[in-house]
Amino acid sequence: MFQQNAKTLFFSIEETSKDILIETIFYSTLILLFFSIIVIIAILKYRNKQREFQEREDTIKNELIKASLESKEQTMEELAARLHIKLQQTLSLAKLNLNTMLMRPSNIDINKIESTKLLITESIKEIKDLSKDLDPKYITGYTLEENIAQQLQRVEDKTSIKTHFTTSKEEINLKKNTQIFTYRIIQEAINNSLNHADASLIAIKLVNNPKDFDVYVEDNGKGFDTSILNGESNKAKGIGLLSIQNRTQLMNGTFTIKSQPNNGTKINLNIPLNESHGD
Amino acid sequence: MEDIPRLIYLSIFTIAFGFGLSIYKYNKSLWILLGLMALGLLTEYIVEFNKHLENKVNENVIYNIYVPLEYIFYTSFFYFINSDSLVKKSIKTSIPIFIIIVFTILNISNTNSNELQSYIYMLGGVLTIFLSIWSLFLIKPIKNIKFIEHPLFWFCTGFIIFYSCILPFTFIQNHLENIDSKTLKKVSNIIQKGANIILYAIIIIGFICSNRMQKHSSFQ
Repeated sequence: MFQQNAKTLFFSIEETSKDILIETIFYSTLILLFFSIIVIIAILKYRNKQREFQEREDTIKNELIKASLESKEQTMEELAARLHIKLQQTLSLAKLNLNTMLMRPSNIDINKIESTKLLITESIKEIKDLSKDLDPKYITGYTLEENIAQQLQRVEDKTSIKTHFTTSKEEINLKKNTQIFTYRIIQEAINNSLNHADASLIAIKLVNNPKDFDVYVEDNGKGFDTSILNGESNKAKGIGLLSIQNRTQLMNGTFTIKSQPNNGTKINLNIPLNESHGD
Repeated sequence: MEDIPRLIYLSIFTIAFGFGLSIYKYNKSLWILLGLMALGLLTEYIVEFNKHLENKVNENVIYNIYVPLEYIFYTSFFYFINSDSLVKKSIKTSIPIFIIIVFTILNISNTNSNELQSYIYMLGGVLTIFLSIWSLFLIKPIKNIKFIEHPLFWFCTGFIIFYSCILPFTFIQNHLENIDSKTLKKVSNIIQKGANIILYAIIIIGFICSNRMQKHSSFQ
């Protein structure tokens, strides 16, 4: 009797445990299935992110080409102006001096020879400067600071506008793409000042921070009412400002503009360092 | 060793660890994972050695020391492999909370140290699953690298599968300790070993993917 009861009890325990076991396996399978769905969702999300990433990479690539071409074009225009205004005039004057001397070979003026020599020396120096600016590595071959200094020098040469440039003691170490974008943005900001601001002073300041760097471009021109920029329309922002904004975004940076009528314009860019912008 | 599944598990665990040591680590936090594996292997070999000494120390005591450390290693791994600040903050907060809960469970349950603290193990497991899923959704896309080629995908999936298999049985064992069922214990034992074998096999795949990431290392 006792044996019979013990056997029944043992089987009932085994039966219960089997049920529990089956239930546990069932719930484990359910949990696994649930997590499998989550993993599939994660895979789909990753594919989306990868597509966006690819699109962003393509945009950066296109923008880089555009920025490089724009920058090259602007530099070429400036160089053409320098060739025309400075070099051509200096050499024409030298030629005129020589012609005058040739017309009167018996009466050679030594001062005229000296002045011609000076004009030729100036021309040689100008050609040297020009060839430096025509260097294909004209942006990335120099540091951002050097590029900006050269650009401001060109502004001073071409116009009556004074420029002022300050940098941090430590040079900013930038990746190639970041440098091209930043330089192009600064060129665009300078262009805006030259073309629209009627400014007499353009000041640029670079501040090197541990994780990012700031660029300040300021002019003392006629300024404008920034409320017109609050409208979403691209027309209000203008192509220049729009491209500054886009390129800053591509570098995961921030862009602010402050201006008031008759009170100049201040542009500030904050760009994070050590981030790959398609480099 | 009579337990064949355990022998397979320990072999694959050792191979995974050796493999992990020798491959290229796409992220430095893989060293933390290897640290965790080293600790796990050490624990398992101590348990084996203890068996040869005819269980001089109750093996649950050894596991009770290992389990909280395991969670801290897991969280450290996720802390360093993720760049998301919210994940980092959550992990920073979770570790002290976990430690407080561990001590609270130990005090409230009034159990002696010879019993396996399965609630702590379950809590660690649930949190690890949560962190794995979160990390899965935060994996940054890499050009020309599919999701299943990303090492973190394999590590996270391995942890999720492992704990999904283990936790229900740990829970059931916890509740049914009064039922002396040989079948339940046997199946539970096989599933635990099986889950471990799957986990370390997946981790080996993760390490292989990490090695393949070498050519994409500039993206890290």
